Amino acid sequence: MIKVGIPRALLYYQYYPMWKTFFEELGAEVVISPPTTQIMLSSGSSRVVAETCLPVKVFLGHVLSLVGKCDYIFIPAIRSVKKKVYNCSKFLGLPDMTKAVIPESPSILDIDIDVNKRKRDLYQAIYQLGRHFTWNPFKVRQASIAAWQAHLSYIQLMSSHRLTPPQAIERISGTLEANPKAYSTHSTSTQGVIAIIGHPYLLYDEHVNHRLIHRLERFGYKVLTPEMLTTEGLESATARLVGSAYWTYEGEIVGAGGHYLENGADGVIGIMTFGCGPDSLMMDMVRRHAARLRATAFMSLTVEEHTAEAGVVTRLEAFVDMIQRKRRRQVKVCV
Amino acid sequence: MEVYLGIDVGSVTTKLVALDGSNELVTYLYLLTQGKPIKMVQQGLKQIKQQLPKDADICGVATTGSARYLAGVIVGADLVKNEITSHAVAALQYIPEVQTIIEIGGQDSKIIIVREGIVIDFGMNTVCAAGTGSFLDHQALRLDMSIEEFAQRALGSRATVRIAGRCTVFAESDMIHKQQMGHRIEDILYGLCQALVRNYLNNVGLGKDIQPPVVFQGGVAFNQGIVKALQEELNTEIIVPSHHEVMGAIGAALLVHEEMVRNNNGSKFKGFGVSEVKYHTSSFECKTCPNLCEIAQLSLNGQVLARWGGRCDLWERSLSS
Amino acid sequence: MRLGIPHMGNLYIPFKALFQRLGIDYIIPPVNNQRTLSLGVRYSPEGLCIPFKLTLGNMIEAAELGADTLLMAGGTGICRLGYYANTQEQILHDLGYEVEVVQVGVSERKLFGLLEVIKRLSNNAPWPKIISAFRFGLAKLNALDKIERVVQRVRPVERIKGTANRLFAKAINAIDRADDYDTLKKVQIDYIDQLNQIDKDTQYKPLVVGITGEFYVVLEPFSNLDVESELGKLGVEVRRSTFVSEWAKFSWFLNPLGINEKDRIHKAALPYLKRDIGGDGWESVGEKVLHAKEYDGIIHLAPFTCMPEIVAQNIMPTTKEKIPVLTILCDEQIAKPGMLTRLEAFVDLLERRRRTYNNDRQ
Repeated sequence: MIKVGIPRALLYYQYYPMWKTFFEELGAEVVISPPTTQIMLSSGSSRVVAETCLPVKVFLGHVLSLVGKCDYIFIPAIRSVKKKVYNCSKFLGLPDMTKAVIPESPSILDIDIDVNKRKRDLYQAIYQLGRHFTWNPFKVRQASIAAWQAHLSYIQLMSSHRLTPPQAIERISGTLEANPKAYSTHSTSTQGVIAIIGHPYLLYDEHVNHRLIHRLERFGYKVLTPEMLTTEGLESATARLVGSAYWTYEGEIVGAGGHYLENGADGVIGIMTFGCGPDSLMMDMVRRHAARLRATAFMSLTVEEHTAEAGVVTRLEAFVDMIQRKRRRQVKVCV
Repeated sequence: MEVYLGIDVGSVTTKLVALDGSNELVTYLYLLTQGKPIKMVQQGLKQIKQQLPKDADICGVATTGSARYLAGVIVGADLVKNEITSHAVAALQYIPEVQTIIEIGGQDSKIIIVREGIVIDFGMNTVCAAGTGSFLDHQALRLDMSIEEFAQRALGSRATVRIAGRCTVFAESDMIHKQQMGHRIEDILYGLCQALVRNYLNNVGLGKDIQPPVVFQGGVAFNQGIVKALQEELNTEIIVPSHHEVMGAIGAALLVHEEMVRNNNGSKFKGFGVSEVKYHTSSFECKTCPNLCEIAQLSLNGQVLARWGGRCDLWERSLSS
Repeated sequence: MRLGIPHMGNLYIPFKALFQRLGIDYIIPPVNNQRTLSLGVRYSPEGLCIPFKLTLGNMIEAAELGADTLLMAGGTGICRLGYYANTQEQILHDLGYEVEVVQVGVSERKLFGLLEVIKRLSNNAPWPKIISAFRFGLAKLNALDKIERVVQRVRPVERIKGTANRLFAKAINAIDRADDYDTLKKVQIDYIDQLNQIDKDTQYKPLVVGITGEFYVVLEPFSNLDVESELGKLGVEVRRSTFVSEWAKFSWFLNPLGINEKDRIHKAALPYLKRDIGGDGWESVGEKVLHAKEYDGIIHLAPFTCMPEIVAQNIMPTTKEKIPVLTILCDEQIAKPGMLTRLEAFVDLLERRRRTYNNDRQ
């Protein structure tokens, strides 16, 4: 059986059920890389110039961990999934960049996704991808319909049950995620609600974010994430803050940030990586909105390869203190 | 006499303060950590005991700073608090109308924005030390002068010399270049002060709503050159509290006082005797998962008191259960 | 309404001509200087590129002089640039300037995006008038680029260093002052003539270095610390395919062959990078491949944190076509002495490589 490797990084959290269904419907076996470790990060980082962003370094580490374990590696070049809304250059350059810096990589299956082109181009691209597994166009068509259905039910599951992507993937596929306990919804969340915003590859990669969700839950907070909002909710909040969206994944930051700053949370924490082009602009939009509203506490947390755990902990503690002392003061004033 | 102890163990210096029941400063200590936090906490306790009145009754102890957990285990702290909250609380005690707190320490620097007595925003240096005291220490070393002399001579500057470079290394090469061009040393020194202030404001202070009154605390506030450069850059008066170098420890003591009054429990302070005890530190590599974390542990008489350093809480958990 | 524009190279000159002919009240902020940079750095979010910082600095300086409307390039599907106008407007508002930042779509509408904006800003001037003003602006742009190409050739071989640069500065001034096509034509011929008459070392065969990379840092000498002039002083001839006229996508108007050049570059990049990744990343890879045989070396200019250029930087060393590449990351941190040292070392390397290469051939 042909084995297709999928790196557990970058867009994995958005599309894994869809990709898995597609390849399995075509009779392939899907192999995922293990959760990120320091060794994977260092090995990925050693292949590229230092200025390359952390998520790409992590991604390359995952590709390296799949070398020898599969026949193909699936790396799509996702340019646009919505008309006139585009993705960061690094996603577009990912297949070619991986090929350049990891020459020993298994053959890369890439596909151009750009909805600004004609529909026929997209179908053609999907068929080209399916041709690696079958000559039968109908089989490819069936697989892509099944994949799309899997994707829709995945999105629906997350917003209706308020699940994070790892929780939802776990439920769908029955596979055990890295550290299931970290996401157990705490019934003892007495201190309040903190929303975290950012791209899924930062929010749910525990190695990169230093177990952020887990730590907040231990402080006694209920944690909300962007996936717990509906697509429509994210889009309308994005529109309120910046007009029309510019980036493909703008909702995860500007939309979720705008929504949670206005309602439903005592504090909002934005997570981004040092040197991330789109995030530096989007987080700045959220920060400006927070400064104007002055209602909900906001902090942006920047992580990079050498971020020390102690620094993250100190910031989180100070942030939680800020929320608590503010609330205590308000209670006093009311009495 | 009621006494509350605040201990701030930073990467470069260790600070201890004692406050009385009405939050007046009884005595304080300012020591160099020299990379030996345990020894310095022990030595600090020993010294401060001698400086305290005979009838001092320790009603609460708090630790803060980057080694706060370690120090907390050693002394039996009632409260372990991060340095941002501590600094804010201390500044508010002395200057209640403060709106901006600038803290520049040896390797860390912070900015805290306060409105109506409440912290509403804060920032810490992220990846780089160019907006911290170590930036100047490094250049002073290179010019072969003490940091005190550095500060004094910087004030004698008459002309502006712009030193480029956020990074310590780049700044050094630019400084050498300026020396080679024959600029006066005083002007170069003040140029370095301005570079630190610029780095601080462009890194830590970026996007923060800096409003007067501005309070400047931390060890670097000793340096009049930096105070002057800040004053010029922000175009407002810079208030340096009289005990600016121990404000973190003062804040910790204030917080533990508040905490003890609220909880009404007795202090867990282990007594001044801990300064005589021999603590043992060791480390090992955890092989449970591929991360291979370095776990550090602190033990006393063969019994492990605390463990740190894992990316997960496996070892911390094993201790508490 | 008073219109202000940010700087990029000499682009302000054709714009000035356009505004004057249409009777638009305008402000040209001071050319890029240390203060512009400091202002831009101070008010920009962390991690943004030098083009953002400098153009923000220009906008603040224009607003100080009374501009209430600012033009900024933008569009979709082209790196972060499309987000800049919106962000810069918000920053200016937070600073208390009541200004509007008008985005000119350079990616999709090409020339029409700009024409439509100009129509609006000129209080709906009639189209023939706009087109004629536009053509005059383009003629100035064309004259500037023609003279600059000659300057690039003369710099490495002139006997008295700096002569070409001084003439170029005078030429820019004269073009700026020219009021009609006749004067413009005369200025162009006159200065090219003067440049050709400069005393040159005809025996000397200069090294040829291609400059590629992100368009803003290639075209704005302040952001790249005058890398072209410095190379000229070191006796190196500079070639680049990116010119203001070319970037502004007017090329089909001025030079129909320009488009073919771009296609050639893209085709060369294909084996290593299959698609446009935004910005100029595709072109950087393509130019390296295409010119590996023609040039002695390539200087790759990229703003620090530039997304497409980081992808290019990772791919460029792996191409089969080998040629020495020096990447210079431009931001407020680079200091001239450090850059000069690296340039000199690079030129030495190229010189030595050429010598061995020639010996091998003999």
